[in-house]
Amino acid sequence: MPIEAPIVGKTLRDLSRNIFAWGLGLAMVVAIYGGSYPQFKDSNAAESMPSGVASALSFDDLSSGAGFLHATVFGLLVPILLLVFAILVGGRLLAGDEEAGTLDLYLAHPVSRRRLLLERCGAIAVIMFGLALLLWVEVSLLSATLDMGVSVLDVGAACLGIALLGTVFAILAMTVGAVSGRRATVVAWCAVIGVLTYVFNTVGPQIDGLHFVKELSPFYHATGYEPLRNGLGLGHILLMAGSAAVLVAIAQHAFNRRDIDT
Amino acid sequence: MSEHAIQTEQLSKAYGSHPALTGLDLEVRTGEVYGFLGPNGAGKSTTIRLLLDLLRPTSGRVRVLGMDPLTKGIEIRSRTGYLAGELALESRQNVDELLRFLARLRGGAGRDRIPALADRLDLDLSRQIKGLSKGNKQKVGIVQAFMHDPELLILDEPTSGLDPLMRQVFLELVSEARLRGATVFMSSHVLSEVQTAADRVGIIRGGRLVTVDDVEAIRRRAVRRVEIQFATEVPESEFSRLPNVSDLEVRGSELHCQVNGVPDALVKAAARFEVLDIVSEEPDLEEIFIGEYEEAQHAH
Repeated sequence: MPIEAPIVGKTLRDLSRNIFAWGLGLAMVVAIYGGSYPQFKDSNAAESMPSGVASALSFDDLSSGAGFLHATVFGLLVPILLLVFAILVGGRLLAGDEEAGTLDLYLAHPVSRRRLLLERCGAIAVIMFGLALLLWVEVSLLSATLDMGVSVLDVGAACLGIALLGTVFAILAMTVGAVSGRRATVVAWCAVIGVLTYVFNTVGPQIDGLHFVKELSPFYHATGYEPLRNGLGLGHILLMAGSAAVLVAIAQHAFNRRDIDT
Repeated sequence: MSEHAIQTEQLSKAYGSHPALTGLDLEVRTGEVYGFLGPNGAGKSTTIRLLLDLLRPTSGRVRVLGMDPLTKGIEIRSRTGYLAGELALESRQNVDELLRFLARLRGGAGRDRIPALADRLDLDLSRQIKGLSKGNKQKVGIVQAFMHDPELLILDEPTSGLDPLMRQVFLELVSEARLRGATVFMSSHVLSEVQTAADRVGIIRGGRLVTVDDVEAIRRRAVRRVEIQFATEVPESEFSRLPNVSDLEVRGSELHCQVNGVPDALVKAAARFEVLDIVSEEPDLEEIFIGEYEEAQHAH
């Protein structure tokens, strides 16, 4: 029996323009920054910065392809852009739809809340892994043409982290939406959590005794452990996937108990 | 099949300390058309959302088609068609695609009837959902509620936004549904919307069911304002002791009064003079409510 998941398709369709726009934006940002590698390769941009700052921004090794890609694309721009996109999409899919009243239409049909939530999480995963795949192809091509010396597999590992990062934050946004039903609440909470955990990953390790805080950051487990240099970290991947699963369970618990009101 | 399509016992819903519904006892018989009347904010939509398991009761019991919405929601909703009061549709699809998607949520039930229903309602299936007028969105809502021939129809303010011709088509759909044995539960804040279709009417006010009666009885108790313009001056005494007439005021050739129930005596008295114009405002539900409400207060 084929698995019927009409809500996945419908969600992707309704978000298609947003996905296209963000996909295009991400690809352009990556092309512009990634493409500037030849200028950085022989310069010493980081030498003009205090070493702490340079290291927080991962600017201490801009001359290697892996270091450069990490500092620009995978450690900074893509995670931040994806964080914003994830919060917007995740907030819209439960809280936004409840506020607009469009959730009623689904839930007045013979569709369980559990199924609605799971199909929407499925749609989120499809979107995030799709964007990550696009990124994988693009960065691999850039690396090959600009002679960055990064393996396709290591780029893939970083992109897998990116896909999971987007999924985790979008599901976090859905979870806050399932609890609060308010989009403004979703944006506020997720922005705070996003910024805090980003700082945990970048600044935390600079402070003595606070090295451990990076372990609490999804940004660390996504790309902060530098898969471009160190290869795929299975533990990090599993931790991210596990976090996503836990968040789905929490969201489901909250959503099942919600009064759906407009 | 259970005797009652919808049954609630002491059903209450509160938001924090604010009660939206207080001890509602509702009985909708299988196969009847039940008009659920009340002013805006009386608890009509809250009741309907409780029936569909969109809201969870604070206390009391709900049975829809003999089942509890909390545990058997999916089965109830597969046998029910629902039209929301404030139907929100957001989609990048056209009408046909959205309706087919909704049919897929029912395992395909009703897909075949989409073209015929759209045709009757004069709904263009190729239009984009975005940019549909309120009336056209309402038509989409009616199609999705009726297309799978459900045994229970729950319709919240179904005719809002429809022009008179489409209201007629809608009423035909309701009577067809009734003929094939379906139960129809429809809410409205206007009596005329339900009086032609409904067998019985329940009136809710302030979260309580104030009265349940057949439509005729409600109409007989209805209050209407009547204004008559005569060709000449008329003596007030000719009208002052007529049955069902109150608040009489005669100024020269103009007569204003309030009629409680059947206006027969007034019309016959007026017929003795030359009548230039007669205006009878539709019974004002709000005034009926006030009457019912006061009766209920006096009874206590």
